Amino acid sequence: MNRNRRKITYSIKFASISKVVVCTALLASVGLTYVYLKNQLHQYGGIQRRLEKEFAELRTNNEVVHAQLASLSSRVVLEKKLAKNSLGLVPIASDRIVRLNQHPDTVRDALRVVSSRGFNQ
Amino acid sequence: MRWDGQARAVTIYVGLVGLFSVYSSRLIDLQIVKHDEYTALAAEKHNHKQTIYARRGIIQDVNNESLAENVPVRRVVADGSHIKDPVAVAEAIASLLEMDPHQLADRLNTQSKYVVIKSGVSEQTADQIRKALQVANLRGISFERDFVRSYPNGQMLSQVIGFIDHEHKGMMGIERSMQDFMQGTNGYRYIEHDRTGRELVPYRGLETPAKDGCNVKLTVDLGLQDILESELDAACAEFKPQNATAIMMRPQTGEILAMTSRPTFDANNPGDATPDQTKNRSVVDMVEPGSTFKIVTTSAVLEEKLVTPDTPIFCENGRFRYAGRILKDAHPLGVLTVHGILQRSSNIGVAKLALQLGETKLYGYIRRFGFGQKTGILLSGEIAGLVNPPHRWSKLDITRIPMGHSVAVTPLQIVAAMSSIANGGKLMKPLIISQITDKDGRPVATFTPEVVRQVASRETTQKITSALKDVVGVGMAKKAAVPGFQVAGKTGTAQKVDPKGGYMQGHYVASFVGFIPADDPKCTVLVLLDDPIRKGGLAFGGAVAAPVFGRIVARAAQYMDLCPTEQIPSSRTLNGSKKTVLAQWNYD
Repeated sequence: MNRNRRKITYSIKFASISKVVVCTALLASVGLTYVYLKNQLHQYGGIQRRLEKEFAELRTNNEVVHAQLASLSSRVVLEKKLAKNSLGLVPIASDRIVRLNQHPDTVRDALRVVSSRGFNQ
Repeated sequence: MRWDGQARAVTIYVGLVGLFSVYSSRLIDLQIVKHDEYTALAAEKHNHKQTIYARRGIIQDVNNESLAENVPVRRVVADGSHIKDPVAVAEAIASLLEMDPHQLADRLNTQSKYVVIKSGVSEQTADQIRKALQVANLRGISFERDFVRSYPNGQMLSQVIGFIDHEHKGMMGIERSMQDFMQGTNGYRYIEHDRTGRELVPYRGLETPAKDGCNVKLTVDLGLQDILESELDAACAEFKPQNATAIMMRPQTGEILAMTSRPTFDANNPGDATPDQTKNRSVVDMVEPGSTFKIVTTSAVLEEKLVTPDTPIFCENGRFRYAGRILKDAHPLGVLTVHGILQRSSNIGVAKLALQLGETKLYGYIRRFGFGQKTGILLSGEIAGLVNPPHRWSKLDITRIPMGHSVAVTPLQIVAAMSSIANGGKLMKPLIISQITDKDGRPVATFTPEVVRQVASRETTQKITSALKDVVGVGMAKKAAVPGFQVAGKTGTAQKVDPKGGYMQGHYVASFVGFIPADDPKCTVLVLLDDPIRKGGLAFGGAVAAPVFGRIVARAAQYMDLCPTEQIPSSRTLNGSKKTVLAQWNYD
């Protein structure tokens, strides 16, 4: 057979193509994953920043309210309100206080003997 | 000359090599030689040290009532390099900041990156400004965190609490003495931001969290403070003294229950106050104590067993010549017992006791009672007073010092000394802070009562107390009496020292210091009025300070729920049967 007429076949080398495809796909997926994860990172960073801001605002508002509460419930303000609203509240005069028991100071920390005799009658 | 192919190739080759060499050398220059310079430049543009602000600790009274709080505010800051239209920005925010738009525009018309426009802007206003700028699509204004200190009770206890300056440093009182505990430590983090200025959270660098300041709890009870202040205000309105001081102490522990001076100021507006108003006279002022000082000499002679309470002393009928000068009593007195000398407050009697004691021993007892040295209270600016050692005394001093002249003491020292008589002879270190806690309420430091020294035996102090009871019961200070209770105390009337030398005629420092109930004291109170004016009489301590003391302790006894120790008959009845009603003092 003439040498030029010899049948030459160029077979497709699936194995090597597959290798290239797989490698490319792998590289592509790694790249995409990297991009995806980086995007996620930025997204979560944004969420973290927003939550931190919200938390700081809540804390600030809490402090503002706390200070307002302290101011509104202060002795001076309450006394002014008392005077302004003329509620008629006056300290209990001492001659209106009748002490029937021993002063609690002397018995506060001691065990007190009590009797229920006659209590149910 | 013919260009053959080889020559052309070589030329191109050399050209390319040259070109790439230039690029390479530039890259080396950028990446290696100038690496640090450009890194710093990049960091300056995109990296930023963000401060994490620490919260200043708060101050509370013994019942957790708030005395000093933080109100978060914003500091409005402009970056001139980002402001393209200063007039538009000024028009958008001037009304919200309550500023003149033209002046504001002038201030914004700058290339400076940091211009403070206004401090102390409320959160609400800051939000409104932010929205106004967003709507107008304007840039260059930012808001920094800040706070202002708020004192909910205004004037009350202001000299004890103190205030802070614009850099948030304590300037006086507790704010100053506890500055290191309360200020906290700011944290920081290194951040990167994009070209719009938004933080890139994933690229956060080193972060150190902020450490909030500690909270301070005082021993002061605002209920008692209110009583002390309102009664002192009433006394100032009645007697118009140049200044006044009142202190209440728990004698067993040395805890300060209340403390105030007049004139005073509003801690929320310290800029409006004069130095005279901000002064906490209890610890930074010194006065000649007058007759309240007689407890020292009397205790000393009893402790040294030189005399007994019944030892008779001749009081020279009111005129005693010593060292060429005549010492007088307010009223001519003959023979008095030692008990009687204290009860009648005889200058001559106590001078004679001091002569028996001698200079060295008298000086020793004065120091033992805590005079001439700082008490160690945790308040800023405390002074030691002035007690000269015997080698600097004149010949006359041995007769003048026992009656509280020629020495200068702080009001707090007088209260501490009287408290040592009340508690059986133990000189207690005055306590104003009970506890320091962290932001979560965990104790960082707890202050417990501390005995400085035993100044006299219990036996001696009981003898002194007996005489002090008679000062109020039958002596010179009947106006200090409180129905239902035995009160022990001592008046003091010291002539005012003339700055030009000598003493001022007709000008006195009137005081009264005592404790209640006499046999089981719950509080020691000092009332001191500097140069009071009394209509129709001299402003002696018994006439001026004693009634104020009486009103204070009467209300304090009710507030502290002290059980009256003496029965007072009353017409009131309970359920038809006659009962004895105790304690009839009138609240008003």
